[in-house]
Amino acid sequence: MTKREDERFEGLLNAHQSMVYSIALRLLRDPAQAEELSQDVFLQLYGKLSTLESDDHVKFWLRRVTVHRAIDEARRIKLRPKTMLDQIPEPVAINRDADFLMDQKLRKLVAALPEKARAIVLLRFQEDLDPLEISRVLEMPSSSVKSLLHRTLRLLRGKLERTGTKANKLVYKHESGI
Amino acid sequence: MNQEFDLETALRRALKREQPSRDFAGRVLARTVVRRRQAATRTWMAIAAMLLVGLVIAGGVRRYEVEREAQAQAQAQKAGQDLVLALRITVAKLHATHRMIRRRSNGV
Repeated sequence: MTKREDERFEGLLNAHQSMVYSIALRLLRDPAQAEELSQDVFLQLYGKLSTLESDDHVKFWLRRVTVHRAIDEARRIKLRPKTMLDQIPEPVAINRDADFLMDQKLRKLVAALPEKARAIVLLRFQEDLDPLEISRVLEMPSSSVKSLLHRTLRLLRGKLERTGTKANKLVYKHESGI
Repeated sequence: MNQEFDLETALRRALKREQPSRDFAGRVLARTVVRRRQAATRTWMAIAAMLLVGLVIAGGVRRYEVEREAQAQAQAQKAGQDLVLALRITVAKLHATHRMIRRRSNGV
């Protein structure tokens, strides 16, 4: 590698490390494994950089490789929870900031999704990609992406509505001393 | 504002990107240095292996040539000996013929 390519790599590493790490973290749910996988992805990029011309191409490549490797790794180490979405314990909503609790609850619900659905939600709401771009990253038809995204959002909404009611009751009980 | 919009906004907020540990980039760059060294070592080992194979092939070719030269020399030597033997036999036959002619011309 030339010095110029090394400088380009360092720039890309600094620009995209949080994107790669966040995708890996939310799919693997383990910071140490997410960092290791992110490092491996960047090393793979280092060996392939001369074939990737534009920075947009690099960004697309990084997303695709990270998502596929993280899904494979998650399946390999059987990180998928044995409990179903309905069996996840609800966070207790007492004396905490409402947005913080909502964020925490949503992250837990997203973490409990199957790998493919989780990857679609991440690419849609973390990476802000549209269904067509998601379909290219995941190499699946855009109609499947749209339908899975729709079903997942409906599932999350239903779960939130049910847990929201329980959380309100808990707050009420706590505040009224029951 | 409908519920779907609320959920999507909440998801965007909840799923903000996170930063890896502070020395993440440094560790990746350190691994690229190690990888580059390993690649350089592999290249030199490949060159050394190719040189070795080249030397073995050149040695084999040279040995084949020397052996072929020795075989040709031996064949030439044998041909020379055969020629000398043939000449001796011819000379002996000529002498015998000459003696026979002289005897007949002397009326023996």
